Amino acid sequence: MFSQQVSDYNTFVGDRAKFNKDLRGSNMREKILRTEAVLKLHAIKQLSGDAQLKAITHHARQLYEK
Amino acid sequence: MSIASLLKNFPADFVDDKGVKFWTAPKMCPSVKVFSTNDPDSVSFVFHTVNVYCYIFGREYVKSVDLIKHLAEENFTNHFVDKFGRKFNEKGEEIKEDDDADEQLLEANRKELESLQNLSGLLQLVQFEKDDDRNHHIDFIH
Repeated sequence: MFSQQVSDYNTFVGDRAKFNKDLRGSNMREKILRTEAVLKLHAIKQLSGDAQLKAITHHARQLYEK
Repeated sequence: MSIASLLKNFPADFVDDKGVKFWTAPKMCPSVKVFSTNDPDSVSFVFHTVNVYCYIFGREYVKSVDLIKHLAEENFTNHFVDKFGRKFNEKGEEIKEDDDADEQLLEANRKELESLQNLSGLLQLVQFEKDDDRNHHIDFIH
């Protein structure tokens, strides 16, 4: 879970074209989940300090209650 | 599919149009886990998950379980949304009501990704290491 998400995020940041190319190999459901994961990580990365920790914690709780 | 999404389509007492209960052996009806600060399992999951993410975001590990308990409850709203809004028939086959819904959702995500600014710095990729008790990996899996 973590590795795929982080790998996708890093690819997106470093080479958007490659990220889009990688996505082509996924089915529709995977494409949606992978793009959402990148958006989520980006949103958390924009935060810092206590706000970031709180966002991480809420994300972890959402995973638990999914 | 999440457990919540599955139960939305097939509640515990779901009966099909032939009067047959959906949740009969060998299928066992699951339940959605609800976080509680009084539940050691839920606290443990959130605590160790937070710490794996701390590594990913280059933060120091959090040592205080009480802090995570507090943050987990502070202004938390569970925005469970069945994003896919899928419905299934009794055979578990998806009922397509809007063939374009997925494409629209993906397109919205793509546009949002294209609009992202301030992209700098990579995240730290987690390398699974079972022999280091300090990295929370085994605790997360457990």
